[in-house]
Amino acid sequence: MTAIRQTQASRPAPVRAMIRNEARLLMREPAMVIWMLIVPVAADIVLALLPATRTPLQAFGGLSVWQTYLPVLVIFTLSLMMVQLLPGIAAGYRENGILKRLHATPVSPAALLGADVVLYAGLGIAASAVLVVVPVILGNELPGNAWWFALAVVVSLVSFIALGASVMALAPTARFATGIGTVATFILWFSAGLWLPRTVMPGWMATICDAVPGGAAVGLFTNAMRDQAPPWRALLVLAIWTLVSGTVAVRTFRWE
Amino acid sequence: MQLQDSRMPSKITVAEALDLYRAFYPSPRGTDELLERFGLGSQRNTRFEKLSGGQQQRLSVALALAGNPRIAILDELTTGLDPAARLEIWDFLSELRRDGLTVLLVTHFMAEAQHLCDRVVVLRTGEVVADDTPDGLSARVGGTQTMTFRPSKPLEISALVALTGVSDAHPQGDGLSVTGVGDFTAGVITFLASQGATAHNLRIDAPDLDDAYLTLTRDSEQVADSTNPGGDTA
Repeated sequence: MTAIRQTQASRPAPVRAMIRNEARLLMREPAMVIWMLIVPVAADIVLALLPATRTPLQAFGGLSVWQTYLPVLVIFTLSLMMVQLLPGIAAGYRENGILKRLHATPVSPAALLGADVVLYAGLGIAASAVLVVVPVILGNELPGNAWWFALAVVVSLVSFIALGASVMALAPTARFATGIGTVATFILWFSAGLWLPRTVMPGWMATICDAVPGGAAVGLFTNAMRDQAPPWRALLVLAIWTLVSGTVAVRTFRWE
Repeated sequence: MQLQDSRMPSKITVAEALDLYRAFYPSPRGTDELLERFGLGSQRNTRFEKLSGGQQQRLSVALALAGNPRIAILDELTTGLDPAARLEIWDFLSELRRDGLTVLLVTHFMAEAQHLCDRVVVLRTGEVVADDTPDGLSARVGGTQTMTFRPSKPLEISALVALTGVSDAHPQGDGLSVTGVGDFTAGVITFLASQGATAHNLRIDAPDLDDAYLTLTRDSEQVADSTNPGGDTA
């Protein structure tokens, strides 16, 4: 009895220790930190500092350059963490027997994966907040509707976590996971309009991109910038992708 | 429990890994105690990727013992280590055993079992084929020993053969070779003393655990073949 109570009482501590440890390990990977946190924030600040980026443009559907690229930068950061980076880390833990070893402790290996998701989701939300707030301090406008914007962050995050989980589950090795994740991330970025803003895409291209999570997610953000409710079609697309990739992840997942 | 082929993240330091695993248990051993016990004190802040193979294995065992268990299950602990690192690990395990920890060691390495274990269980394709002390196991297989020595003065071979347990005695080189079972060696030594002779270059060859293992698992050739591709087929 005592032993059981002790174990349960100490449950939160192992997960906290894991989150702290994972954060420390991330800080030892400067390349990751630069791409995930510093590059998007720097791009955001540069955009915000150029007065021309604040002018509403006819070509961008009445949004300014900054208003068009803020959603892209948020999607860039979230997808980089959840689809490109995390699957490689988690698959590496599987490949090196770290998950298997945790099976031999009182702590489940699921706690380690959970700790990583919590850490990176937290970083993703914090980075999104910085991406919005810093330009506002520099004199830009807030998104038209901050609540719809926050919802877009959460929905995109959940959908990218499911995508990343399916990448991790399907990939045989860590290198493979990183490779698949990188390709998937580039597709997400393209569909979100990183290279060609959504408003200037030809109709057929926009239609295809709308069916990709990146394109659907950018729809949520752009509506939020315009103070409009999320488009139902985009929500549906994200829900389907989340369900499908979540199911694939659960069905094909291996601890070793 | 320590598992074969289990690594840690390459950039975690020794002390961080120990502290992380200590957080999993209600009453863990102290970090400093673990560092000192496993000779990792000066590697405290070294990253896993910078450790030698032996140090990585010692950390692996330290992590398995972080929770202060009474039984430790250690799998293929010294596979792939050089002899010096292997001896190092053996010393630590002997010390742990002296402290009263029960260790279940899984190994393919007979010298390791001979050196460390009080009791050896031999498995063949998942079934127990023998369960004994290392010496008992060696004696059970064959059980004959051979003494070779150069007596300080000539001896009667027939008198040697007549001793209890001796099955054969013959000249070999400039000395004698005596084969027998059981405790015949003591008899031979006593006999030498009674003749006022001493034995020079005395050597006793007993079957070791390797022989025992080979004999016990001989039936399944595929096992011997897969673990010892260039090896002999007895």
